[in-house]
Formats: sequence, structure tokens, C-alpha cells
Amino acid sequence: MKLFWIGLILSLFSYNTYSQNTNAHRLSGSVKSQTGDALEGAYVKINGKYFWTSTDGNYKADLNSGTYELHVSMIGFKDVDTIIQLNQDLRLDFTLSTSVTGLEEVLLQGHQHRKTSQQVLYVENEYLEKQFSGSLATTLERMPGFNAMQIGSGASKPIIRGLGLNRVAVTENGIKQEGQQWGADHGLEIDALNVENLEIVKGVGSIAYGSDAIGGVVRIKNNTLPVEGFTGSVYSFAQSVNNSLGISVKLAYTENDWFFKGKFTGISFGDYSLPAEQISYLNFNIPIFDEQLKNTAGKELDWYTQVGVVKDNFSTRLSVSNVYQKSGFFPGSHGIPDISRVQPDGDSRNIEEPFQRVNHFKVISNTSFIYDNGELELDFAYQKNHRQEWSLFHTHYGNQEPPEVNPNLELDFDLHTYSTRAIYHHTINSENETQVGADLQWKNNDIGGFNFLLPEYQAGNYGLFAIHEYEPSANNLWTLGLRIDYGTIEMEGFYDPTLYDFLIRNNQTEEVASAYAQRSEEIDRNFTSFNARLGWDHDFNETWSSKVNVGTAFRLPTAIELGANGIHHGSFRHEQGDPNLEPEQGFMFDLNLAYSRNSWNISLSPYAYFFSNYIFLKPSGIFSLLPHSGQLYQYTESEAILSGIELAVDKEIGRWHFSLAGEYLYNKQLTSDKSRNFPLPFTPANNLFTEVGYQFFQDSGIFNNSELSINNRLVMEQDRIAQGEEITPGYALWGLSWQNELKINNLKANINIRVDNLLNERYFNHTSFYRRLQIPEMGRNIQLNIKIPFGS
Amino acid sequence: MKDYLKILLVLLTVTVFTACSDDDDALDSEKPTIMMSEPEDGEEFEIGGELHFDIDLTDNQGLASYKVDIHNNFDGHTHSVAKQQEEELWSYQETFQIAGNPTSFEAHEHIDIPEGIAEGEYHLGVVVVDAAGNQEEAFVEIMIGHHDGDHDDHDDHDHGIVVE
Repeated sequence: MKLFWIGLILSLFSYNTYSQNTNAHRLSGSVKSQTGDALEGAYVKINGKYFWTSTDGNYKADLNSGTYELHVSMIGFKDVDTIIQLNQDLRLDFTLSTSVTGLEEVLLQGHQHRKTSQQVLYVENEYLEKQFSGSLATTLERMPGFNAMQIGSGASKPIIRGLGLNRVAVTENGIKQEGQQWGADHGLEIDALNVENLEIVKGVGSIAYGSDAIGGVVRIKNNTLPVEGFTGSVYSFAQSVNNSLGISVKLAYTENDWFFKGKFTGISFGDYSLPAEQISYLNFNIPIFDEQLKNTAGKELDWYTQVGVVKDNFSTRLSVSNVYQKSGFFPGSHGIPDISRVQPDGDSRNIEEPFQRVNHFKVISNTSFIYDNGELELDFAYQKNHRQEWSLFHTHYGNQEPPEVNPNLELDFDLHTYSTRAIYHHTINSENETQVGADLQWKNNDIGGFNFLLPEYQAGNYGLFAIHEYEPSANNLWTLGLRIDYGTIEMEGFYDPTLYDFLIRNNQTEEVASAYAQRSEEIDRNFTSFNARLGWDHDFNETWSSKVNVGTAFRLPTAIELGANGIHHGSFRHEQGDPNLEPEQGFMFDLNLAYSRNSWNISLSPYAYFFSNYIFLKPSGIFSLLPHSGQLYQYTESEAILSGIELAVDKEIGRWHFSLAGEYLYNKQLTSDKSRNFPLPFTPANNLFTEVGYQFFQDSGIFNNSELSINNRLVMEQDRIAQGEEITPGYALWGLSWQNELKINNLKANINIRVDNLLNERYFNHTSFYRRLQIPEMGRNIQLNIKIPFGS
Repeated sequence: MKDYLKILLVLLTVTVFTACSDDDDALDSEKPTIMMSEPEDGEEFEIGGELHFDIDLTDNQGLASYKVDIHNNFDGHTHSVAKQQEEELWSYQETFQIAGNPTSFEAHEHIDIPEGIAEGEYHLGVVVVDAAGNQEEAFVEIMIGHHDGDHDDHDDHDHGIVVE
């Protein structure tokens, strides 16, 4: 009902604007591929206003007389630009040719760049829905150079080129997502099913996104314009491995310039199955009952709304969203192994302590003004990330009293982030285009809970940047980017009197006791960083093309790295920050060679990074006085190198489709002592993903685009490990999938059935949070998902 | 042009793959091992009595030090909010240096269990680090209480637990 009223109000507004157009003409036509297939979902941009082609490839627009710039684009095809004079109704048909790399950049918002010198992988919502595997990062895992850091079955975060945590930036509509990214046991608070378009920028994204974008950027674009009228879809899925059930509903209404989008996702999953009867953690054999990992159940509840207006020279969008996730931790290896806590409780869907809960609320406003030779974009955002970790109250000091309110709340972080971005794009002439921007961010972190880990802090980050693009010919594009950043961090001190008493009672001197009891120092630091990037995109000929990038990247040290002093939750490590750390500085070089001919698409990307001060945790060899802890781990800087090569091959032969994505990684610290040049932690093992598919029916009336495929993920042994990690054996996983588009009369449905880990292999994932705890990954999983679109 | 590209490809591959044939062998990321002969898991001790432990430590390159950590595990079974202890919860921590970085070491110590501490289940943990900073840990659960003298005679060394 509400939707109806909003729709009505919107339509009244647009009616007014529309009624003034006395001399309107209709521009219509179709967009087809070279083979004559109608292209659904191609964008036709007319002077800054977007139109989408329908299922039969047609578009239409009602416009005043005048001159219009048309830009037609579709992922996987070459863009077409043209200028038309409109003084009567006009029909204009487009034929798009397949793009050379298959991955030509399509920038849907802002000024169009036909190309980009950066390496970008494009992912659409449709792909995410088909491949959905519980959370965003795991869903993207078959992309070359991309890995997921998993935390159980419902949460994950991205690793690009072996860099993760705070070294990868995730953005939505230009705004950087801010949660507690530093924690390996924290997932990404993004609803994978509501993502409309996604781009994985591999390589440094520091110029446009500032700190953290070292390994790359996961750029989410939720700004597509829905087709005219009322549309929507219902997507539902079920997974066998954790008895997961989920539903995602999307609704959209567009009338003339106005549109509204509403999305909702609900997921509930139970404890996950794994092919193991017991796990060996430390010197305990922890039994696994019914091959189900106790208390790994969870749930997710997300909603998203967006309202916008898109006019010829002005567009604005306001998005309000919320992501809520709750998931349990396996109690058998949370802290010291405990067999008594893993007895089955008869309920595989309950979430008991220990568990984590996170709520991410976000408001983003995106506005753009289009001028004759330029465009101004203004973005404002507010985010509130509230993370809690709950476990039954326990103390290691003997004399700590449980808090009166929420006695079992162990850690509570409440992070508020305010962001503003302003970017002005200016077209100087047909060869030169420049953009200048300002990027401001302010964060405030509050803490609570009976345990202490991260101090309260306020951090500001202010950046100015400029990117110039020079395209002297159709085969060459040069990009130069410069950025200067100023960052501040003000951390509150935290003194722990209970710990002081404990140490005094354990016969420590007052001096030692106060040093330990000062859990974090009061720190006030500021940082400056200057960065640059030079990129060159060059087509040698029709079949060969290349991209070369040289640049620098930086990351401001986090509050944890500067000020932690205490046992890291769940890992019994006493971690100590260093208040004198400098911003991490990296120098990188990457190259991409692409070959495209006769449906062969081959892409090879070697890269190398050098860090002058990579920040990592170094075991000190000195025992900490804190109970339950081993040696002290200190945050330290050292030189490091990181290199690798990615390969992607794609080929179609008749109805057969072959694809392959491989990754080789090599990294290590460079210290003055050769015997300490350890590899970097959480480095994914070298891996190769292969898929062979066969298309049964292309268009048979009922069954359409029906494809059966078999895939294999081969992962080598990871024996290049950081200290404190364990060698992870190699493994091979097989998978099957069957995709189908059903069409029965007016009912359309996309049905996908998938089997992952077909042979129920018992394996460890080197980048999973559970690897440390010796918990194997999920067993065989059968998944069914159905999507039913409705409206136009 | 194609020849040039082929050469470039080969060169790149060679560069990347030769980068790995280096001196990784000098790295020691192998953890020490702990074989705990005593106490055994679930062993009982007397308040006011003596606890002795007997642990074999080994490492591929050289041991540096170890730590013994005893603390209560009362909250593992009871909701500790409801349980208020009148006696003191015992905790014990001691670090021992291993001189000369040997590759194997037999740790044998006696610890006095104080009078007046709370009865119940305790964790005894051993953490060992080698010269390179690799760490291994092992835990056993022990019961400390009043047992009228019929506790173990500490001569059974067969039920040790090997940690790799």
C-alpha cells in the first residue's frame, strides 16, 4: 500500500514535468548483437538519462527537439557513441560487436570512459544469484586473483592478490564500506543478493579510494535505473550442507524521471556438515557429533530502499539500507578446547554463546549535475556498524565481577562513519579528460563489553585527487592520477585496574603491573601521504591488447596496529600495537596481456608489489604475563615483496564452453636477517579453476539457455606459511551445475541446481578463519535456486 | 609484433617463476613439539599438596623457553555469574628459559599448590617457543581438591599426549 502511495506521488510529480513538453518526439529502436540476438538490459544513455532495453532488445524515449549524445553499452560488448539531431519521431537500431577482452569497461554513472587502464572484472546481479554461496566474497571466488576469507558458512571477506582485511576496499555507490575490517573473524556486511553490478578492480585503487585500496577495490554499483512501470523478482534458495533457506525480493517502480527500489533478503542457516568425526586442536581430540559442527548456525536479515530522480542534466539517488547478521562460533575451539561444550543439544538451528552479531545501517546520497563539458558528482553518506561478540562471562583474573547489564557481552564496537565525496569531471577536448575530487571521511568508534581489545578512537581522513586521461588514438589511453592525503587518529587510553590487581597478586612489580594494565595508550597522530599512478591501455591490433600500470599505494595504520595491548579474542595471542608506525607504503607494477580471436579469450596478468613498510604481527619470543597467553606478538614494519600471475582462458566451440582461471602467488618479508624473511600471512595457495559446459537448448520454448557444466577447483599445498600458520595440504573439489530458463506461457523462471564438493572431500582452506582451529571446510552441498521475475 | 609478444610472455613467466627458487630453506616455521607425560588429563591433585610436571620438548632447530600456566576452568561448566567463589581462584604462571637452544629438553618442575584455594577443575597449559619464535601449546584439565590421599602415584608415563 505504501508503495502505491509513493508511486502515486512520484507519478504526479513526473506528470507535471512531462506535461510541459509540448514538442516531444519519440526515439525508439532496438539493440542487437552481431549475430542478430536481441540484447536485453543494454543501456542507452541519452544526454545523461538512462534507458534500458527490454527482453526483445527494444528501447524508447520521449524527448524534446534538440541535439542528443547517445551512448549504448552492454557488458561484454563494445560501446557505441553517436550524436543525433531530433526534430521528428526517429527509429534508431544498434548492432553491438563483442568486445576484445570481453570485459570492456562500462561506466554507467558519471562520464563515459570507453576504456580504462586498470584491470577490472565485471559481475552482474544475475551472476551473483546463480553462483550465490551464502555470502558475497565466497560467491566471487572463481574469479581469477580473487579469494575469500571465510568465517563459517555465512560470512566471508575478500582477498585480492593475496591482500585482505584492511588492504582491500569495498565501496557502494562510491562510498567506502567501514566496519571492523581488521578482524579475520568478521565478515563483510553486504547483502550479496541485492548487489546490482559489481566490479573487481585488481591492483591499486588508491587514487580514487584512498587508504586501504592496496590489493584492489570491490566496487558495488547499486544505481541502475529500473525499467518503466512496476517490476520485481522473487529469488529463493535452499542449501543442503547447512539446511539453509533464503528468500530475496526485489521491487521497483519507475515513472518517467522518478523511480523507487525496495529489496529484502532473509536467510536462515543451520549448523554445517563436514566430513569429519573429530578434529584435533592443540592436544585435544574434539568429537564432532552427526558430522555437524555445533553452533555454526546463523541468520541474516537485510533491507534496502532507494528513491531517485534522473533528469537530462541532473540526477539524484537516496539509498537507505540495513544488514543484520548473527552467527555462532564453534564452542569446542573458542579459546582453550573444551569437549564438554560440543555435546549435541538436539537443535541444529539454535545460536548459543559464543556468537557474533553485527548490524550495518547505511544512508547514501548520490547526486550528479551534468554540464556541457563536465559533470559534478556529490556523495554524502552515514554508516553505523555495530558489532557485538557474546560469550558466557568468564574472567582470567579471578577478581573481575561480571557487568550488571549484559553480563555475557564480551566485545562491543560501535563505529560511526561520515563520508563526503565531490568529483568534477571535465572534458577538455576529444582527447583529454580530467577529474578532480575531494574525499573526506570521519570515524568515531565506541566500545563496550567485559573484555577489552580495541580502544575508542576518532579518525579523520581527508584526500584530494586528480586523474587525467589522454586518449591520443583509439588504440591508446594514458591515465595519470595524483592524490594527497592527510589523516588523523586520536585514541583514548584504557587502563585496566582488574589486571593491575591480578598482576600484583601474582607477585609482579608495580612497574610491570601498570605497564600491562595500560591496555592502550592515549595516542594522537597525524599522517600525510602522497600517491601517484600511471596507466597505459594499448591495443596492438584486433586480437592483442595490453594494460600497464605503475603506481604507489598506501594504508593508514589502524587503531589495533597502533594501540592494541591484550589478548586477541579467540586466538589467545597477546597482541601489542606500536604507536610509532608510519602509513604503509607500497609501490606496484602490473601488466595485462589479452588475446581475443575466434571465441578464444586469453588474459594473462603478472604483477609485483614492493612495500617499504608492510605492517605485520611479529612473534617476539618473549612470554606475556597475561594468563592464557603465549608469547607476545608485536606489530612491526618491514620491507616486503608480493608478486603473482593470473591467467584466464575462455573458449567456445559450438555448444561447448571451456573456461579456466588460475593464480600463482609469491610473497615474503624482506628483513635484514635472511632467516626471518617469512611469507605473508593468509596467502591463498596457488589454484586453478576449470569449467566445461554444454548447452542443451538455446531456445526450445520451455527450456532456454539450458546449460550443464562440470567444474574443478584444484588447490596446491600451501607450504609457504607465515609464522604461527600451518602447512595446508592441497585438494581438488568437483562441482556440477545445471542452469535453466523456463518459460511456460507467461511464467518465466530461472532455475539453477548446483552440487559443490561433489565427492565430500575433507579439506582445509588456508585463508579460512577456521583453519587455525583445525576445522575442515563444508562437505557436499546441493543447492537449488529459483528466480521468478514479474512486471514488464 | 607477435614474436615480440611471445618473447615478452616467455620472459615474464621466467621472471615470475625464478623469483621463487630462493633461500626459503633457511626459514624455520616448524613448531616445537610437546609431549606431556605428567600431569595426565583429568589427574587429581590435593590442595596444599604438590604438583609436578614432566614434559618432553623437541624442536627442529633449537628450543628457547617455555611457560607453565595454571588457571581455573570453572566457567567451562557453570554459569559463573551465579557462582560466587569465597575461596581464592588459583592461578600460576611461570616462564622457564632453556639455556643453549637444544633440540630436545626434558622439563621437570615441582609446583606447590597453596592452601585455601577454590576446589575444582583447572587448566594446566604449557607453551613453548623456539629460537625463531615458533610457538606450540598443549593443555590438560586437572582436578584440584581434597581427596583423602588416594590420588595417582605419578609413575605411569604411557599415556602421554603427542602434539605435532
